[in-house]
Amino acid sequence: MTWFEASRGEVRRSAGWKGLVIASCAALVAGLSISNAAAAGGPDAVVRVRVTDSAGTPLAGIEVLTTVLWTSKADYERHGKARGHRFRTDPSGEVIVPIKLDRQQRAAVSRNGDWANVSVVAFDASGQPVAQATTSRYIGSRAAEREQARQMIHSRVVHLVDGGRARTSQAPGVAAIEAALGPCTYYWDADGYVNRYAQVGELHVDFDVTTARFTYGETADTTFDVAGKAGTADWSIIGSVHVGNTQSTEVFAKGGGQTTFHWALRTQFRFVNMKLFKDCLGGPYRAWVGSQEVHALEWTGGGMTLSNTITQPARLAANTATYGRYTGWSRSSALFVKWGATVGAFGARLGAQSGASSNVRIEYVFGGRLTHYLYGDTALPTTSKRVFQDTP
Amino acid sequence: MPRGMRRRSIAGAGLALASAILLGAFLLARGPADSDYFGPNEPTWVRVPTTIGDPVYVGILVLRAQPGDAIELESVHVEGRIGDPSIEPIVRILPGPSRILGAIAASDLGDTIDLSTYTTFSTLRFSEAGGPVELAVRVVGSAPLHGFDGVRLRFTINGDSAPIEDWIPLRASICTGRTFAEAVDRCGALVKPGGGRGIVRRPHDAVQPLMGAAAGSMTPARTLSKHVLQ
Repeated sequence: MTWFEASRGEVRRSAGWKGLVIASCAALVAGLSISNAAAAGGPDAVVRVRVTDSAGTPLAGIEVLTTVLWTSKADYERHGKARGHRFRTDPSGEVIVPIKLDRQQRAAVSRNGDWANVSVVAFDASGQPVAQATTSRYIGSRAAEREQARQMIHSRVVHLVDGGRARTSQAPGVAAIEAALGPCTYYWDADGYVNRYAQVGELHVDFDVTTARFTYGETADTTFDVAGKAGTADWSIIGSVHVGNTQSTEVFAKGGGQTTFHWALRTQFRFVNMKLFKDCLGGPYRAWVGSQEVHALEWTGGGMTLSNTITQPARLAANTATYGRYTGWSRSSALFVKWGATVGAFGARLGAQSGASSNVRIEYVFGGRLTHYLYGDTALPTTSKRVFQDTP
Repeated sequence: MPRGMRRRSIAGAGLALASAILLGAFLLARGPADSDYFGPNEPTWVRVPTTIGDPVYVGILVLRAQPGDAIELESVHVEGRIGDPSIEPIVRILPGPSRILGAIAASDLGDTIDLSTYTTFSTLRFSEAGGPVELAVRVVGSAPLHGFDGVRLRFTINGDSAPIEDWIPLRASICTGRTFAEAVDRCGALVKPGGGRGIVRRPHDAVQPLMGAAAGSMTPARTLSKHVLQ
């Protein structure tokens, strides 16, 4: 474990010989898996999809389109549409979709910090989308990010509900589906981009602080809600995507030397408006099938702004630590802070969740007064999700 | 099975066997596994300037037993020592809402916190009702830069014979000088670009200062990220 890697995980008892046996078996299985995966070329990730009607009845034989989405505007401009693969649910209404990245997709996922963002759409027998969701899969090796991925929405199963099928849960005939979908290609394509600032943190200074700094980057680390809708329906949150791309800079806000500085901090992301198209004829002809989604595509690295002042809660002694003259304090954050409904793009409002790895950092250096306080809202500043400063 | 595939399977099985032996040996040698009982604990770095001979108090953690658990804290190991510090863990049962040590020199304490309420750590038993327990360390050193990289707690729960360990990644850098101003400058240099490289050479200090970026607007930080964020 490197010094700045937070200790995480469940309590585990001393290993001993039992640990050796378990570890040996695990290693044996892992080794054999490696050999088999190497021989068979296993998937990069797996997405388990369940389709039910609104009463929870599994829907068998439903066509499901899964698409690995591009992770930057440059990807869409270079590669064009994001094409998917179609699968069909089994009698239990489920399908386990293996995500096998091609070379271009792998490069895009790598540029996004090894996060793959995947769209899942279910169709009815007439070839119209009836439910959609978007999820993320982390294919890298960093333990903290794997844990983060496990905690995200749709991490275990993507549950799609066909709301229009409550009273007729019978599966459509295979022939009907083939007739409706068979000759057609479905794909997502970008229909516009906007840059928006999203809140990723906060910084508080009361008094006598020479340096106060909140830093974000150089690798972005924010999970955004994804909004989706069909036709003229209202936007709804249908999942999340992870933005983990890297810029050549980090951005930070400074509050040192100021008094009563309490600001929410925002940095800029690019959002994309995606539309699902159907092409049954080939060539340039295509029809928008009504499904649409808006999600964050990438961090632009375009600076950090003070967005609005926020209130600092009253200091609780139990959550307060005392620091002396000219002392310094820094923390890299691995805890979640959920900032609700912070971004508006294409008419949808999206929440952003930042601070999931070591890419968000806070630093204070205090001035010459004898006593300074740092405190959290829920715990001491070393573990709290939010950190505040107070000088008596 | 094609020959190439068979070779890969044999190689995989061999790799698995070797991995099993190595992993088993590692687990046996490693002893208790890390837990997160008192966490999660975020990587934190405190820097304290002081004059030579002035002790520094660094707060480590407030330990809270989970409901129904009786904790026996067996040991507090301060790891990754830098310089020549004498480090003494101290504890106290918090009497209620109290000021808690963060990082402060003894000469700055005044009447802020009553040090007489702390005792030198020895084996400590506590429960949810009998806690929480404030754990801190008293550090005395004369080297220009001294301190430590973190603290490892070893404890048992409800008399279980198998001990558990928590790693607290709290790094303390204590800067001393002939004058206080000299000590302040020394601590300030730690967070400037390239700061500390002339001082921090030990293996546990491979990580660069957390805030190595220069003050100002956006700052390239590849080197910083590679060391700090990975």
